[in-house]
Amino acid sequence: MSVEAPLLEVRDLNVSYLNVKVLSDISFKIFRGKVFALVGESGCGKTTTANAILRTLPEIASVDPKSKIIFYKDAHNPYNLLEVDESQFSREIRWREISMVFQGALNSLNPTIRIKDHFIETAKAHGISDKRWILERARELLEAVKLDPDRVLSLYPVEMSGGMKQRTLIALALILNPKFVILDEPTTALDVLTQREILFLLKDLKNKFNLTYMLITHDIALVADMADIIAIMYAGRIVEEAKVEDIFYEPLHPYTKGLLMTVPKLNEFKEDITSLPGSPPDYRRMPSGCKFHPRCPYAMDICRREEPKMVDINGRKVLCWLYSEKG
Amino acid sequence: MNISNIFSWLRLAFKIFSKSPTTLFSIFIIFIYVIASLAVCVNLVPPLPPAKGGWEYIYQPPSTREFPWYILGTDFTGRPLLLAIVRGIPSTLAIAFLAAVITVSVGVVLGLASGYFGGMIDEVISMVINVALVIPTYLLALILVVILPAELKTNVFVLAGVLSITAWASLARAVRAQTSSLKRREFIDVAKTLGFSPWKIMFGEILRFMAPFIAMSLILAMTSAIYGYTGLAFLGLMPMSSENWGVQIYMAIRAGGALYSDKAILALWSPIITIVLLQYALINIAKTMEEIFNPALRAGLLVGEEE
Amino acid sequence: MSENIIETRNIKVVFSVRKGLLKRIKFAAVDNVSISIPKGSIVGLLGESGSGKTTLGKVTLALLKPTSGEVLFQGKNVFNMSKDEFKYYRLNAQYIPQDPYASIHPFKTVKDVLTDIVMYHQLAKSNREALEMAKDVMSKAGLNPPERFLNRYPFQLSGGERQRLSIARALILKPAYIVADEPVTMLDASLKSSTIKTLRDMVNAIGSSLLFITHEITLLQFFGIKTRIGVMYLGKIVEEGYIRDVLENPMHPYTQALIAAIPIADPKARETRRLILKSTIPSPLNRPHGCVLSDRCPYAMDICRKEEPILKEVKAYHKIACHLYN
Repeated sequence: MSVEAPLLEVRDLNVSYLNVKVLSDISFKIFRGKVFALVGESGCGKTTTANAILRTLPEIASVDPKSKIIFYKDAHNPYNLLEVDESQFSREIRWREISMVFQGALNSLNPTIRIKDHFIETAKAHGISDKRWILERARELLEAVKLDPDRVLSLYPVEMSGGMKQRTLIALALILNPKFVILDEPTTALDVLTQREILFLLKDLKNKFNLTYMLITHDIALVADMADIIAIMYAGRIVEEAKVEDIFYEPLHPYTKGLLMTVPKLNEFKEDITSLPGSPPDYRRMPSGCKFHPRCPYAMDICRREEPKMVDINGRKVLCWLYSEKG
Repeated sequence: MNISNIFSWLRLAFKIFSKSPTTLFSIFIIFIYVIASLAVCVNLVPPLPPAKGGWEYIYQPPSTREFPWYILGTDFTGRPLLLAIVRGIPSTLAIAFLAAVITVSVGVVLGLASGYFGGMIDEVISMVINVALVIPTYLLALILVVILPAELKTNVFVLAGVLSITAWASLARAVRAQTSSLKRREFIDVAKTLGFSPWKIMFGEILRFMAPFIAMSLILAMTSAIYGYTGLAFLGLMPMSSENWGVQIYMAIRAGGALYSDKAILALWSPIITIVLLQYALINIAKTMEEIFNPALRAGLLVGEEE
Repeated sequence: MSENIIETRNIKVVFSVRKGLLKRIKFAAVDNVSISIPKGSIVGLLGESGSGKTTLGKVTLALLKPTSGEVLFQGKNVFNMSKDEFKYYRLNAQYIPQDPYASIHPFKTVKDVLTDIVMYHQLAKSNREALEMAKDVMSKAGLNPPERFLNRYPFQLSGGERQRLSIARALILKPAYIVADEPVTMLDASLKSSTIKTLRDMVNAIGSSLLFITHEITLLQFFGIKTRIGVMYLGKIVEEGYIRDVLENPMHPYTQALIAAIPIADPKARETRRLILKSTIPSPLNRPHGCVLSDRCPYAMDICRKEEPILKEVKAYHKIACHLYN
């Protein structure tokens, strides 16, 4: 087990929206230069986790004071991001150390301003107003994402294809040279060839600029290609965390197995389609005990009564009664 | 929409109005005005006594005789001011409502047709809209009012028509713009494959989509008509009837010297406050139209309903 | 021999786009495409954005008029039908669009959406009967129990539930032909297969034909090995065949690239898969001369840049438009 310090450590993160708990005891470590994937269905809390790290949670959100998000900007000087005051955070951390690539399909770009103004406004919002510097850097980055700067800088978002917009969002995230980039569904709603191109591009950029990624997605097949460590989320909890090979070749949690089952394989002309029955629970009306038990084919009595505790098995973690002493 | 639907919809509307004290107050004001109009129409309110000319009778100070009609004193005809104002409510409301209905009906129908059908129909209607927008509305209303023979000048329908002559144009333009962008949306494609006729699509789907906007426009058209009507009288273009609030204001300034002395001060401010109160109530209600017609904004109430 | 429910012959759809103040550029979104959909069968149309697949789907539904070519419904030209014939066709050709957020009227409840249809066409003689029909189709579409969903507005439904409502809405009239345009693209990966299963089962139950448009070839496997598919690129069909043949033996370089790009749930596979095509898809306004793929194809020869290849049958029921096979 490596004794290297992580780049980011999230410890006991608990978040509520008004009085509804949306994240429970989220803990994980992300190591330098690696790709950490957070996988789960819509509504499981993955984007909330990203927002908690970037401190962009909505006003109705309240973070439990015992939560810690420890950032190891340099290996010997870690500090809790949640304790930094907002002005210092937006001056020194947000977009300079940690930034985010938003989901292109969600109209993350302002349709009324040109791309070059997107770069200028983003940089300005984080303290840089030297237009020449910004545009020079924008050109460098647009080339790095394989777009033609001369053409793209003067375009409006509506004139760009999905792939072009996604590449632009990547360039925007890198403008202030952050070392840690959160990617929220970077390929959703893109055509399959474009998806592939973007994934290759992300790998390329990671190597070129020495980046560390946190990749958020609902598509587990996507991360087989990119991730080093995968954490599966369900109902605001991490239910399994392991190295990528372990997740795909030896999944432990029933939900992980279920997710893997829904990936269509090539040349599998199964008329009988396997799918995960049921749907994720409403946060206001959570089931008792293990939150997955209503959909779990292995549910036991204890699963209905008590919430399982995280179990560590040879460095990998799973939240399931099947694997602890009581189960 | 049958009877039970209308009732539950009214209950819902009331629930939304009660959410804020200002809207509740506004609904209350409208309610009072409507009751007053009904009272006048069924003669529960006494008719105006004959005019009494002469300096000793006009703009008398408040008195308690024949309570409550003289508590604001008398107007420029020696008649009780409060009575005159109250008797003016039905015609004002009627003109405002009719003008708004004409404005919105014409604007919506033309806007929908032009936005949905496009082509030649759109070109023709757009041209008409543009011409209407260029005409100075108020000037046209002024001219018409001056030309009209006296009997027609007090006719509620005629006045409503004059006041809405070009008001429909900007609404038509807005509706046209919304319609032509909505018609590209996927739910319209589906409406077509489901075999809905163009009329059903325009009035059932597209219009329904714009319901909050149209409800709000209706109310705002009312406020605009009230200002228009009052303004015409204020400029001295209407017959000198006591019941016309604008005329009261006009006379208070002209004959009562209200800008220089205190004698006609009540006759100046009472009609102004009556108008302002009504406009205030209407505008507040216009703002809640969005919530009443848009289910997504009623989320708080709906969750309660589910339980 | 099964009759074709829908047949398109040499469909060409040309759009013109404004460039600058006075210039207008024309481009063919669909260029000379002929497909036929037999009665009661499922046909897949595979392509990415810009391939013209949505345009072609809309043409078969008479939502768009082609610039040239014919669309036949049960052998009759759709744009040349009598009023009654067209009405019959109209009710038998339904649409399931891609976006679950933009395809349902936001101010109508689930009950309104479905009962409106049957009441408008007078298929139900009373409100109660309309409600029964609505509940029936909702339960087949997976919105169970129907009572739970009847009074909900679209914003109170999840993406998956909205798509099921779209499916119910398209099938309540029991049409003979349905076009599903990327119906699961905007859903979570874990919901795609169950939604497709519902669509497939409902379509088979009423014996309808389905044109399933997608950019994910693996989804087409759920419809069985006898499913025919067509691969479109920049307005042309480049390969056509049975799904199993195309998947196991893709002949056109574009099809090969599409298959190579599919995410596979196997970390070991990552190193062996490379990008096959050069650069990125050009704008439809800049179609290359000759073969549509000639600017990106790794096997492009001189002739590819000059002459357009014709769609020809190379193996049994497997057609391809590529100079490599001439």
